Amino acid sequence: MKFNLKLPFKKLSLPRISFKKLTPEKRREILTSAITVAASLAVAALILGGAANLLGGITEKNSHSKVFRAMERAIPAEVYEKIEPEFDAAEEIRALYAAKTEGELLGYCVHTEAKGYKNPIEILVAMSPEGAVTKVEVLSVKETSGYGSRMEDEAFLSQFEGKSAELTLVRGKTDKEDKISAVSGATVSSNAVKDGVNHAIGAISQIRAAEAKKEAREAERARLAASAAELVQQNVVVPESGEEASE
Amino acid sequence: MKKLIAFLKRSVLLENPVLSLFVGITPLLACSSKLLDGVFMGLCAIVSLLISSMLFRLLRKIVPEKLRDIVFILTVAVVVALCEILLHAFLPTVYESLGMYLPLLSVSGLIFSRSKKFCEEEKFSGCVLEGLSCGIGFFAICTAFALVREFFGCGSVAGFAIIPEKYAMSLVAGPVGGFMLLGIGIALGRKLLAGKKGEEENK
Repeated sequence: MKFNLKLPFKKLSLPRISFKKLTPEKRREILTSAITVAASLAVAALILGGAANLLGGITEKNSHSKVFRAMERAIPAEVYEKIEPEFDAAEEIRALYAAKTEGELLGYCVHTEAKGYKNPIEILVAMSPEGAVTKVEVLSVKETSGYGSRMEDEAFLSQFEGKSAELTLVRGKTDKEDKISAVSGATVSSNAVKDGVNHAIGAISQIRAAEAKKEAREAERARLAASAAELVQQNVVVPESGEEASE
Repeated sequence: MKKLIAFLKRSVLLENPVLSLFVGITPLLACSSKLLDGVFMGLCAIVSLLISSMLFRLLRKIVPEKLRDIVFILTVAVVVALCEILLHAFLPTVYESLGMYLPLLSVSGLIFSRSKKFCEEEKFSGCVLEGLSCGIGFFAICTAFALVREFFGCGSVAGFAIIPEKYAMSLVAGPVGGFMLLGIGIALGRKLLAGKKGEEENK
């Protein structure tokens, strides 16, 4: 089968202008216009680039501190160590932190993002060392005021507390362990928050699994070392360093 | 003092950019649902109007007439973008709440058409004064709208709750309320303008 495509309009043709044939005045005009526009664009780019460069450090610091302030409200701790996950975390997750005081783990904080009705919603999820949600805070929300912004309500966000398994959203009231009731009239925004919390739960459970594995491996190694030491004591095996010493 | 009152009256009531010329409606409606947003939007508008009026006046002689629009638009864009960068660096919360509506100011007729008009003034000081007057007019309207919309829509003023949220009309804080308020504002502005014109004719 052959398609015979004919465009409904005439072929566009630009009049051919030879730069050499123009009068000197016209030539000068074209050149000055081109130079003026190029120069003004260059100046604009210089000013904006310079300003952005100069203030870049301050900008980054200020937008960074928002997350830290929220973490301090959720889990007061001495340091918030950034965790670099060894697995592929969901791409919505911006950063993972372990809240520690004097080396003791107080909890995890997950800074995540979820697609809302119009714009992405940034959420901070605080979790206990056991992997249960302790607090959910909405960091930035640009939803329709009066509807979507109601999901910042304590009544909605407190539902997440204590949950540690994948959650689903339902309309109307619920008291089931793995269900969250949506804010009426703002299902999309509620869903976004739920997704964000689910990502956080998933990531933290993976981290905890990885850490448990590491701990088990270390315990195994310690046990082996202990039994080896016992054997040395009973003179069953002579340690290599001992042989060298005797020579 | 009398001069100041006359100046304020002219900028806020008689030659208000929104109520009598209908420019700058987009940023006004978008950023007037919270008092603080409205105040900062108004301030940004004042600053960018002032600076771009002055720059237009200075550039008018250098730039060939054919290219004025291009260069002027670029100037407005640079000034507004600078405002945005400064806000992002020093007031990140305000920057976030204004969002994409601040850059929208650069394509709004408010700054471009007004500043272009003002730069035809003979004196430099006159051009600055016109820019300031227009900016104050926009600032006043933006703040007033934001106050009304936040009070009725969210039951609070600048974040402090006054009416319980149960009784607030969230419709007023939404786009519908903005348009309704705009209609009321324009009607009032026309009434004032008509009264003023009548007075002048009677004289």
